[in-house]
Amino acid sequence: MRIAGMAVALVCLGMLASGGCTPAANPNIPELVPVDGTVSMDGAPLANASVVFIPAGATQGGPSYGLTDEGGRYALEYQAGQKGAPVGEFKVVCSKWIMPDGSDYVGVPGGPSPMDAGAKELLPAKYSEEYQTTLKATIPPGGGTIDLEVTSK
Amino acid sequence: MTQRGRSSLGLASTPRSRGFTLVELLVVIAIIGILIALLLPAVQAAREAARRTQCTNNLKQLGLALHNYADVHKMFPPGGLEYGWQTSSTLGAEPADKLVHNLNGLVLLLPFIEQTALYDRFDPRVCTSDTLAPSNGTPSARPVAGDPVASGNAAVVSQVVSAFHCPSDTWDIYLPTSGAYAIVSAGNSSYRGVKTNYDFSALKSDASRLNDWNSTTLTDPLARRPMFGENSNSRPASVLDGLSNTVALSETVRWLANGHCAAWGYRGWVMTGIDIGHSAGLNAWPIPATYTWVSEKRPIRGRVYDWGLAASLHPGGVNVTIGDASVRFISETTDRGVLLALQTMANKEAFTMP
Repeated sequence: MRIAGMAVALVCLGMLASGGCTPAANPNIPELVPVDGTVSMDGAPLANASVVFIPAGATQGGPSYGLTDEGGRYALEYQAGQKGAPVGEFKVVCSKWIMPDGSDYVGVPGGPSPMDAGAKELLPAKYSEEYQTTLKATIPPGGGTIDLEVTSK
Repeated sequence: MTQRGRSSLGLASTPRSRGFTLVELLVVIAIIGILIALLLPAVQAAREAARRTQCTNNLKQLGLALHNYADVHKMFPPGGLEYGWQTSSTLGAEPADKLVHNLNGLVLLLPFIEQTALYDRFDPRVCTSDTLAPSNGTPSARPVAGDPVASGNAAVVSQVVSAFHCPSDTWDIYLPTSGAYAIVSAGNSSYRGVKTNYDFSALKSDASRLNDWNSTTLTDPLARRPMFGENSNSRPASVLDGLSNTVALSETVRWLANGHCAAWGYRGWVMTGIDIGHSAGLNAWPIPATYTWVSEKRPIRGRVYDWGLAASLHPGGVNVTIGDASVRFISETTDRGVLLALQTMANKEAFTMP
């Protein structure tokens, strides 16, 4: 009986030891606050446009992303399934892909990327290029609504 | 049973007659199991350490090749020469008097990594790929320099050179045989482009000729410049931050959610070099919510979300070659300010090497 008890204890110890090696959940994700808003081009809502909030200055963390619906509305997501964005200063990249016939590029899961589908950038580089964008935003503690205005020229 | 065992133990002069009980057997099996469970991860870690060492060696050889090239030519090789795809800009006009070469500067390092036989078959007067336009851009107005197939250059750049491949990366090494990523854009299945895990430190942006090292579209081009780019001609003396503080080459992975990994021999669509200061950071596995064409949105280790980003399958970071030809493992949690300082060659930042 004593040996059996020891065996059980050993097996339990082994399980504990191996359990201790499992990595913890991702600790690199900063605290996220909800952010939404609209994107309009020349005053009209812009559908199927992507916005990327890139941390600037002392803001920590990675970029947050949003995609506009028919009404030009977006809500930021930090990584897939994680709603919101970190608090701080950001530069914003706004981009919209159109097909050669002028229709919007709409991604189909498993389908071609805009690179491979022959889509073109609609917006000027002062909005769509990370190193040249003139769009800036500040996300306050608690989040909020940030509306973006772009022009086609 | 226990009674009989005990009595035989007490009476017999030899312990031979005593077997072992089921419980004892189970204990031994459990102990062996635990020992194996402890050993297996160690074996896997040792194998990965060996692969990482080989990757480090590849980058070291390329770093030494850079310096040997600089000794002979008095400057470092260009990150690439005369790309045919960087035409979609409204910002910088194309140099009309230059032919499209689509050359990856790694080809010029072949004689310095014991690949002289391959380099001797390369004709530097002729392009290595005839890709002119991205699938989504305006075709370049510039003519292509010669025919890559007739010159034999297509045969050179479709060779697999193991020095350009990280052993930890198991993804496909071949590029498409037609289109903007191919050697012959009209399609030629005899010549498949081969990907590289190692590439020059450069800016990744596609649409505004930022990859052009002599571009004036940056607000502060000299301060933002990495060591390499299209038509770059940096010399050891022009790296004002110091060769020991600037990244020359980096590694990446061959699986991308957007675009394709660069070829070692030529520059097709979005084959820019590696942007280690990019906001996405190192080992950027998470897929942006805006990437609607990606069916598996979960981050997958080994699939980087976009082209031109530094990534690796070595746990926790990326190997890079520093300008002085040393190789460093940069942790993926390194602050972006430090990565930007490492990337720029003449911005005079004060920082501690990670």
